[in-house]
Amino acid sequence: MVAIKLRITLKQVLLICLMGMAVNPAKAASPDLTQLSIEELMNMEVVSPAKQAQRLTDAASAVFVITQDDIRRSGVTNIPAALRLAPGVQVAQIDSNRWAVSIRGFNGRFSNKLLVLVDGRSIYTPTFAGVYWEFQNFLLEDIERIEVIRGPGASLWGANAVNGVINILTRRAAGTEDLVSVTAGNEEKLIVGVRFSDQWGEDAHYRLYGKYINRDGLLDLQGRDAEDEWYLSSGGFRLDWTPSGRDSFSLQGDVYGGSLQQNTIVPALTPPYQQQAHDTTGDSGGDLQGNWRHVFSSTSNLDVKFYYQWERYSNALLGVDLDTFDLDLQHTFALNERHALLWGLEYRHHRDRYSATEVSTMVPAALDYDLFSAFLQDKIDLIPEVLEVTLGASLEHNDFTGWEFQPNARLLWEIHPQHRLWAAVSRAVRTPSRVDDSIRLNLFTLPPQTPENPLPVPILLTFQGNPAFGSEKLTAYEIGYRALLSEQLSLDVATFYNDYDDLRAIDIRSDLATVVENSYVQVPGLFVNASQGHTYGFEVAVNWQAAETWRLQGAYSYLRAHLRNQPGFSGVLPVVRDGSQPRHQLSLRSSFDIRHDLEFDLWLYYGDELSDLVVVEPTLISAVDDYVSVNARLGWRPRPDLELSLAGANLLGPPHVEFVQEIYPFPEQVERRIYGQMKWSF
Amino acid sequence: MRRWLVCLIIALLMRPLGAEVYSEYVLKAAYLYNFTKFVEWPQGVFPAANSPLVICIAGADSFGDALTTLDGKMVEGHPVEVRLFFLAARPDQCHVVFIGRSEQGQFKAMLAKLARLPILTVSDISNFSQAGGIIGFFEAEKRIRFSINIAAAEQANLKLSSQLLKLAVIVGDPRRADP
Repeated sequence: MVAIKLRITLKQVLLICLMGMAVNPAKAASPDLTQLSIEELMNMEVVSPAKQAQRLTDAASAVFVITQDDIRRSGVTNIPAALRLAPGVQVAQIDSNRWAVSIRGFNGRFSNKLLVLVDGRSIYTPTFAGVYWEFQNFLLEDIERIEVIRGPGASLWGANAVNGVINILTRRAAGTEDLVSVTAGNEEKLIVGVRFSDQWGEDAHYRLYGKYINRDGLLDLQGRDAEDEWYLSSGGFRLDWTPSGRDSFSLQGDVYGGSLQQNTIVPALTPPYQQQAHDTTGDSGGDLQGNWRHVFSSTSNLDVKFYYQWERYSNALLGVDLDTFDLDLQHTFALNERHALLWGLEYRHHRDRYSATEVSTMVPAALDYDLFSAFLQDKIDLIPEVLEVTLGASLEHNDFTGWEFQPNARLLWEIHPQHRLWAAVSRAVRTPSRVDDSIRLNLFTLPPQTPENPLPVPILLTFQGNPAFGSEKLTAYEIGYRALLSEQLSLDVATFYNDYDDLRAIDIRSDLATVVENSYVQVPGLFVNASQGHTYGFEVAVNWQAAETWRLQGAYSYLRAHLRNQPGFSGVLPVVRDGSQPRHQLSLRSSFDIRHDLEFDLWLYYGDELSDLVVVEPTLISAVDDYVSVNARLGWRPRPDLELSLAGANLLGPPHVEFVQEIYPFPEQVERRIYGQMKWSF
Repeated sequence: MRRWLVCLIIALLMRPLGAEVYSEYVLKAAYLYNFTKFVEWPQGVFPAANSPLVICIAGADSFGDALTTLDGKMVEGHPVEVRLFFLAARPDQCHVVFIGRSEQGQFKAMLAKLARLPILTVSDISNFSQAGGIIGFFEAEKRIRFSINIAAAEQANLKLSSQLLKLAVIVGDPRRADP
């Protein structure tokens, strides 16, 4: 047996050797330094390779990484809540199953300037160019880390990576232990997660997971149960196969389905002209993704990825059946000692079928559309170890606006091994979504014979998509500083000035008003590129290992916006105002190991008031007070394979509203949450 | 063996001339191999005199092909075998576990799992040896150095030769019984 095994190994080695020669003769194999003594090794100078997997301190952009440990210790039970750990990210809970998440402003349920990826797969829905956070229900324990990049990432990731990119990376199958996790509390009625992982043959590992969540509803403004409870089941797998040191494959997939209760106020044409709908959203979806990485040498590798994902979503507002197919190729290599190149190609196909609901229709109802993109990036060591320049651009073609060009330039200056300065200028665009192009949405009704509507019949305001709607454009200027002040203390500061043009606004076209069936007047609000202006701000993140057992982390964000109508437009409704986003945000965390088996975590989060929310409907509230949320967690590991924890969120504060959805608003209050968790890994 | 030699010769020929700097992970791979020569595993860890010495790599593989140079090398009669995956189901199959930087978030949990097993833990995660790992790499003046946590080695029942300790930065308190 041993002899056979050895022979295969040798054969493989030879194959690798030959393959390496065939593909990249200059780097057939690494030099063999094993004959050297440790003393000799200690005198060898290092040159960092292509820097594909870059160290955080070497990134010429504002990056923040939320690790598995951060997720575990912060006591969060969903991804939006975990994103609060990062500076510059606005997170607000709208109701029990809807969140508003953005980076550097423009927050909303339908915020659309953020690209969100799971293992490189875009989970951005082409319907409104945002993310359904409620369906991102994988096992939190499977997440290796969440990389949060503030600022445009369009030159690498393509259109829609405008204000930032969130990349959720799951762990490889190898090394994940079997797991049973049960969480229960007043709001998290029950969350059960199960994971099974094993080895398959010599070189492959896989894992399977299943998860069920059942969450309670929040409170309405009167403090009554809002009855928006929901449940969701999901399951999936990941298979990693590494037949050789040069090739690795992975195949992963998820399916989910659930039912969500939601509150909505929809317009009516008869008194009282609006109607509160307690609506059920039925949703199911899934994805299948394959990756292949081929390593030509330590400075060159190729990644090929495909994915298919589908989504079926239906409620009173929208009915949709979506399929996305994507194929993507990426090659990294070091051209020489100075130039590290990265280029890639991507093709994406969307197929959608919308069904009309009481309030919305899409025209056309079904569409197939494509996206092609290519990008190239060169990272140049201008002065090795001191000055590095990154130049890159992406060029893509989409069926709504045609060609889009998105370049960027970044500079990293290592002033001192522990101090780095970086600066960047980038251009990014947000291409139109299906809603921007094609929606017909009945928004609200102005009752007759009122100050707003003196007519004898009601006025129905509608949103109307506009095939002439173009891309929203951003030119971003950023400067950052990163310092390792001591072994225990690190500081990261980033500032930005974002200059926007052709932002979406709503042009109320009373000149296009029509009288329908002699019973009401319909006035369309057309999506137009009619707003411009700038946002600016800065973010600070501090990480201090105060003692071996005590870590303190702080994050502060400051954000302002000055937007105005473009010349030629007056009276259009903007999508965001200065007062519709938090000016100050602060997060302070303490992670303390009381004993080696006992952890205590405390997390304070402050969100500034939203004094001037943009809510496209007369509503009960258009401003939200500032709030402090105190979160705590006590974790005990009585045995290495068992973890028990008790956690609470919003512990001190009274119930409060965090955000009001931009359309069809039904404000709800977030309550105190307390839950216990048991995790058994084996 | 001859095939290896051919491979090695080709590798040597293909080496860029004059460049006497090496990629970080080529050096680290060589270190890994060298460490094994200075570690004494407790009796019974190797079932036979020619059982393989298994180096397991946990986390994202940063070595590329640097590790292929180790495969098949001999240490005290044991052929070196590199496994690119950390076999969590049977961690005791590994003699050395290298924990990659990608495991930053969970390496403490991994260490807890490996504690008291006769496994040499090595990593380039910062402050790895301070956190209970045995050998941690760090970079100083463009060179790779390492620190050793003696208490952690003792807990793992491994004897590290004084030659190795002499070259390392020693961290942790050797008198502390149970960190």
